[in-house]
Amino acid sequence: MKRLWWIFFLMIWPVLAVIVSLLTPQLQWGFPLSGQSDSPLGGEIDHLFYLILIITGVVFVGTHIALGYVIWTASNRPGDRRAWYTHGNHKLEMTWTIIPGLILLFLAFYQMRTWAEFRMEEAYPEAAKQNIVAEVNARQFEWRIRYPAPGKELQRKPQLDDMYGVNELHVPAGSPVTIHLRTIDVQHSFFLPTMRIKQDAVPGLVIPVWFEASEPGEYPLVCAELCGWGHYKMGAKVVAHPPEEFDEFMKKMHQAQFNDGFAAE
Amino acid sequence: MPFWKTCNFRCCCVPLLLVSLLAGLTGCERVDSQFRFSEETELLAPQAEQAVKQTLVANFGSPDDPRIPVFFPVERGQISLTVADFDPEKPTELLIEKPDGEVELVGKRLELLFDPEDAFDVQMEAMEEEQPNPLDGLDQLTIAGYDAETGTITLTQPLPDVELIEPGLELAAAPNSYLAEGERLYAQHCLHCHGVTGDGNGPTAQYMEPKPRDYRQGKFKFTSTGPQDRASDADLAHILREGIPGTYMPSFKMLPEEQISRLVNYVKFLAMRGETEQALNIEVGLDFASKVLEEELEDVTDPEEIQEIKADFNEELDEFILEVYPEIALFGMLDLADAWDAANDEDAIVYPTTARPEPFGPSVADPSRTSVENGRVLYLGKDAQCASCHGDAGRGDGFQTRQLQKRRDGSDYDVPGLHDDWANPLKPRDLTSDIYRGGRRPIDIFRRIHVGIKGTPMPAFGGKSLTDDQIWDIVNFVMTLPHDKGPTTSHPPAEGAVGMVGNE
Ligand SMILES: [Cu+2]
Repeated sequence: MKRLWWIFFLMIWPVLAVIVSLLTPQLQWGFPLSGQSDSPLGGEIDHLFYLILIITGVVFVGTHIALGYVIWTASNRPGDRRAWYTHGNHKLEMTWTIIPGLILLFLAFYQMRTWAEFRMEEAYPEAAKQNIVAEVNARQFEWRIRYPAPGKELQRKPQLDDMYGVNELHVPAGSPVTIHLRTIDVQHSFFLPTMRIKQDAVPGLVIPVWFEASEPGEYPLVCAELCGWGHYKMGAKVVAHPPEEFDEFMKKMHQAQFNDGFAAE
Repeated sequence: MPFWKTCNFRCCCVPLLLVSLLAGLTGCERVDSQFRFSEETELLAPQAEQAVKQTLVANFGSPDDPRIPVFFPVERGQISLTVADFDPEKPTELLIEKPDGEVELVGKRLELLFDPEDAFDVQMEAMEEEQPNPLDGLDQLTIAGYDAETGTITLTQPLPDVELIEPGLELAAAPNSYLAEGERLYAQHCLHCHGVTGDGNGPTAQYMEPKPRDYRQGKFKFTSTGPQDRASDADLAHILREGIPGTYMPSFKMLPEEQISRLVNYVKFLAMRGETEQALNIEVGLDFASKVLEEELEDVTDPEEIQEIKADFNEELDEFILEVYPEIALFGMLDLADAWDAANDEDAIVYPTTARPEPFGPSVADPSRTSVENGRVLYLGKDAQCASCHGDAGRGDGFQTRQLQKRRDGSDYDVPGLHDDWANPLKPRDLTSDIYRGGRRPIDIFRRIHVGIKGTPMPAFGGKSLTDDQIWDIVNFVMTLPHDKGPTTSHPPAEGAVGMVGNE
């Protein structure tokens, strides 16, 4: 019976954890395959994810091996022996406090550049700061998007020649772009799962979010903050155009936006 | 003793657990999944009520089995077949012209697509001769077997010996499969607001302002078609894709094209069902609402006389249902089908006859002003009277919003201000808010003014009170209202200035 616990702690948990971690990327359960992120920054975030996974994985498996060892050896002892009280081992406690502390410190420094690039406006890539493509307005339950007219800059206030869209955010591929994220009602969250971008939209704030689609294509955009009964309806997409076709596309959008229906006759 | 065996635990937690389980079960409100009949139908005299309900069930089925007569312009998703031969000696067999490709027919419902008027004549003839209706029960027809070699269909029940079944007659197998698909999608995406019946009364509707659309009058606010026309398929699909900003109607752009068209189809189906019900209620209710009998009996006290009046009423009603009603029902539906058909006609769509001038360039309607300036003059002027509802500064606060308006029956509404055709209070659009429910392209705003907004007090100005050039000027003016740049910053004079415009 005592051995059974040994099997449980040493065999089932750690082995299951390792197997699941190895299988998950292929099964698309949410773990990224390396190189699978659709943006360069996403690659760095995936790298951090795996680094932390490996560190915690080694600690997890190691702890279980230690636990298994203790249970195994203890189960050989006669059952009628009394337990004894120990105040602990000062050295041992120092060790297992300082080592994780160092690991955390390492992680804190190691991720700083990626995190800053992702979140701190001063550290945004210069190209992203230059290229503000649209204002994304989250609302219950859709994404309303406002673009400046071709050749113009996005203004804080809507302009007469602005263009509008819904649930489709058009950007050029292959270069960093910034959107201004707002919400007109409650809190939402702008989530590009395949680019590893997530940013809450907060009432009253205009939050710049930058991202870069590596390749032309369509990428999912969803709301990641439970925002009401229609939260699930907030599925949308980012359409990344080949850079050489983007300007032409925006011109066409401008024509469609200011269609007066006259030519249609 | 383990903690779950202590008395405390058993006394408190078990009942608590049970209660929360039960609460979970009852907390989820069961949504009624049958089509509901309208109040007016329930108010008809019992036999009339039954007749109308029967017509609706026979022609439009239920949410589990939605169906619609073939003459309505709805894509039903049928498998089309043609009769090659029919031998009345073998009434359960039907020879068909072999369809292209392989089709799965066994187990599917089969509909014989008679010309509706011919079928009507056959039924009425039988009735006059006091014969049973030969076409009765044909809606239960199912294909029991199909021999692809010979093109022979075996049926679950014999066909009647009528001349209508002849070579060349069109057949429909699985006649309403698109409607069934539409129903599933509708239940998933739309039902919780718009309701099972499309009456705009789903479980989440109570939280909404404005109320979700009630399809049953066939009125859809934002159309590209003329003021009297129904909405076109393209109009409905456009609203589904783009949503309606400023309301709870979200965009369904992410749905594939095919699903959008199934949904449009199903919404039209619900509208047609509702409109059929409404048309029948008006026709039948005029003479045979329960109220009519009550009124006749109002001052009568003699029990014999009461009996007599009742008997007369019922006799008249029976005669009406037998002889007049079937015709009213069929031709009512045929008219309705025509009206919906017309909305998809290219001619029904309203296009401007002139191009939109530059907002700050000269107006075509009045070259002495810029387009925006002339738009402002027209906006405040007597012909369009935009300001009477939308307010002098476009804030949706015109004097009509403070005046008591009249219902269609002449009585006053309970609260001052405008109301829609469903008697819900309605605010005129605040034109400075930069929200355009029916779309913000110039053509969208042009059509709002030209054909009006259906089911609301926003009238159609096109072709009557305003020329297309004048409408463009108003469009240009309205589009600049939310922006404080440009000449429109000098906002119009204060309230009561409607008459002043002529002095300019
Ligand atoms: Cu949301």
